[in-house]
Amino acid sequence: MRTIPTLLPTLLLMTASTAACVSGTPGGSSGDDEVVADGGRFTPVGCSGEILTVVGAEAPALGADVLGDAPDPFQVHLGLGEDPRTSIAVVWRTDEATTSTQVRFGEGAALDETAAGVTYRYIAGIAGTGDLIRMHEARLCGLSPDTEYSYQVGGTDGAGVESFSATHTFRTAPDVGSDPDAEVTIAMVGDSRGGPDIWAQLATDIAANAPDLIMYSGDAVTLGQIQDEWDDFFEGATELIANVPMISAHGNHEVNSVNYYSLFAMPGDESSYSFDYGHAHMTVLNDSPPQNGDIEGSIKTFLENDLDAATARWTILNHHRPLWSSGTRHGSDDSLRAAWGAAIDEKHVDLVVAGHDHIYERTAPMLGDQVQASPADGTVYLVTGGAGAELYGVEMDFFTAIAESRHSMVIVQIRQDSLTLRSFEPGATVPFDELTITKP
Amino acid sequence: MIARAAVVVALVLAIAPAHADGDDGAAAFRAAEQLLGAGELEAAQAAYEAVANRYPDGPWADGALLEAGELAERRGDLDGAIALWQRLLDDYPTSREARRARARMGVVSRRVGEDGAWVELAEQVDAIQRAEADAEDSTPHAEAMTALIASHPDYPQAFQAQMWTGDTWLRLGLPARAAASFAEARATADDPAERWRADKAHADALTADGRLDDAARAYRGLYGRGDVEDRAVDTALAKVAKIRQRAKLRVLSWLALAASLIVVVASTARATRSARGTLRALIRPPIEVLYFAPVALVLIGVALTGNQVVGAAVQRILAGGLITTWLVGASLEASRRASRLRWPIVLLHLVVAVAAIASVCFLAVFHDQLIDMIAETWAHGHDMH
Repeated sequence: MRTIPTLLPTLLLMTASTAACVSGTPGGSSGDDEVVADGGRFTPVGCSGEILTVVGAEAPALGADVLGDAPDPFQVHLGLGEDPRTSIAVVWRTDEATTSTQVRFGEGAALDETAAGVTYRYIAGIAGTGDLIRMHEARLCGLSPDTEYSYQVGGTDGAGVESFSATHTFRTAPDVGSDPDAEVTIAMVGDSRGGPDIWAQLATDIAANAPDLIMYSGDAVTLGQIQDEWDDFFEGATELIANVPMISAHGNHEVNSVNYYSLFAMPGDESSYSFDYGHAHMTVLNDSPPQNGDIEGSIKTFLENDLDAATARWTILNHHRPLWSSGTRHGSDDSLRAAWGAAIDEKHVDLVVAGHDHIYERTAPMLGDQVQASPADGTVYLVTGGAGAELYGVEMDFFTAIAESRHSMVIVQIRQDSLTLRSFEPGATVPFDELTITKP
Repeated sequence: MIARAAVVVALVLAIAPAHADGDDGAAAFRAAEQLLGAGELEAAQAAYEAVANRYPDGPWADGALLEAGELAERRGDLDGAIALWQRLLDDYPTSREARRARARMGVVSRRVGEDGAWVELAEQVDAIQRAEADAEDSTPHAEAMTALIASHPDYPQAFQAQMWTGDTWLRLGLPARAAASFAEARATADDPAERWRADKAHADALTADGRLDDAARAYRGLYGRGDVEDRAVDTALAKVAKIRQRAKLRVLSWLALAASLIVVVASTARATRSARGTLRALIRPPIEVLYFAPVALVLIGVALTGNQVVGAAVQRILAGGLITTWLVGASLEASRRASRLRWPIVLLHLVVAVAAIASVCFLAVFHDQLIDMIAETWAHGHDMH
């Protein structure tokens, strides 16, 4: 797991308020007390990673035994915190007053273990003019690889009154060291903003493919600070995201908002990070950071170091603005290609997934600005910007293998020696695009 | 083809042990993957099945059955896919692959109906969708799907097929036909969520077809299902209002351009007192054009190196600006030559030029939804793009 330490201060999003982050200290503000929204960090017991909050949110702290008037958990969803073979992150919301934060979980159908989580509030709305949003997050660590777990989230008050969610399930990532034939299935999708009904249909379609992970390429909302839009996003995929972990690349419409960093649970600094999942090494980059110079600075350095250190059979890069796109609205991002293209070529990233242009596109294998005959010689670039936003036009370019103005999602199956991607329109049972890449 | 697949499988199994560390099926599985990568779907399926048959206790057998089932589905053999996945569930019920097989089998089983009663029709639906995916023109496939479902109105998956047809018509730029397909889908919807989805798609198609009153009425009928859905309706109705407003501005712009042209011609005719003189005056480029033309050409060249949509708009604006400059300048010049250049004439030409340029600019940014991009940038800053 790699992150960018130097990005933290420049993101201005994460502060070093470590005093509020001592593991095991009860906290979690409620009621009408003053909100200190400087962000912070917390190391859950038994885990190696931290739970981070950013400016605009309180520091995360263990919850007290308090249930509010409407304590039922909602928008329950999974994320990743650290090694996905042995851990998972669970996130949910309640009314503002509820601070009790517990997870019941166990292997199979059992719910015989409990874990305490952290809670905090953040201020939604432009310039902090919106509601206070109560978040709860727990990290379950020390899990067994490739194992199915059940879980419930909720809390208990001082009198023993409980309020827990329905039971959901998840499966940890396989350990390919001991199980080299393990296949993982990853759903790739992005740019649902403004199209909640299409996103809801795609979420149903994704669930029917039982993926292990959802990789979102950004722009879930039109403006990151507007909470209603996030509610549309999470409520449109309730069943899916309660049972399958989702990670995201930051899209320009998320505007590095406190909502984005609070609602998703992702590894490292949640902005640019990486992890291994099955036989794939996943690198996720923020291509619209607060400081634009970071694209050619710390983020580029992170990418180079990360790809250098990657040992997985396959490498996949996920970000938002496409390096290659024949979309008529945005098209290829030449400056990003100038910054990152050499590293992608040199390390031969297998698949680069982006969104931004509201189209579907798969390029021919590319090396530099030359089309290659085989994926063995170049990188395949995917634009999956069709999760609901109004579609843009396409104009086939020299690098295009297929480009269509369609709403879509992509299912990628990864084995040791093969990567198969299949792309579907909402409600479709037959893919409109398929590609299998093999390695000898 | 079957014989070819059998030969491939025999070769795969014959060479497999030679490449494997142990004879557990790893090399045979890898060989099947290579066939898949080469697009040899039938041979790959046979090779995966051979792995499961020959190495049932090996670590690759469950994955081989999952892949074989998915290849059977891709090849349109839905019964075969279900049988392979069922075998995976029976023989390896706790494997990682079983979870995915269970999900895929659920979807395919719903498509073929109880006891496989609809398997033939489901395979025909798949065949149409596959053919469409590879086709240059989707029209015959959308028509084929419409006809197929019309002749089997009881098909349990008629809703999905009709929604696919509607989406295909939309992609073809035929919203009226899309609206008809979505209306048919609504009639076969099984539950309120499906009905809402079909009604929303129908209203969206009406919007795309320019039937804004019908669309607004249809959207208003969608309120009340839930907060998320109501916000989607709010967004759709706001879009209808925006389209109406822009349509009015578009008509006004064209009228302003026409009026500007008439005023310029009339003013020139008044100065030259003859049709031929008017034509001669307007054909002759005024001095302003000599300055403006090269600047416009450079700007167009620069714009075309950047965003396509912006480049096209810059072309239109500068072309419109050049024409306006030419005509208004020529008309003013004609008045000057006729010693009729008075302040009211100058002001009139100024108003005409401003109206024409404003109209050209609006029509240029209206194209390709550039106006939305400008509005978002204006509201939220450059980073939004």
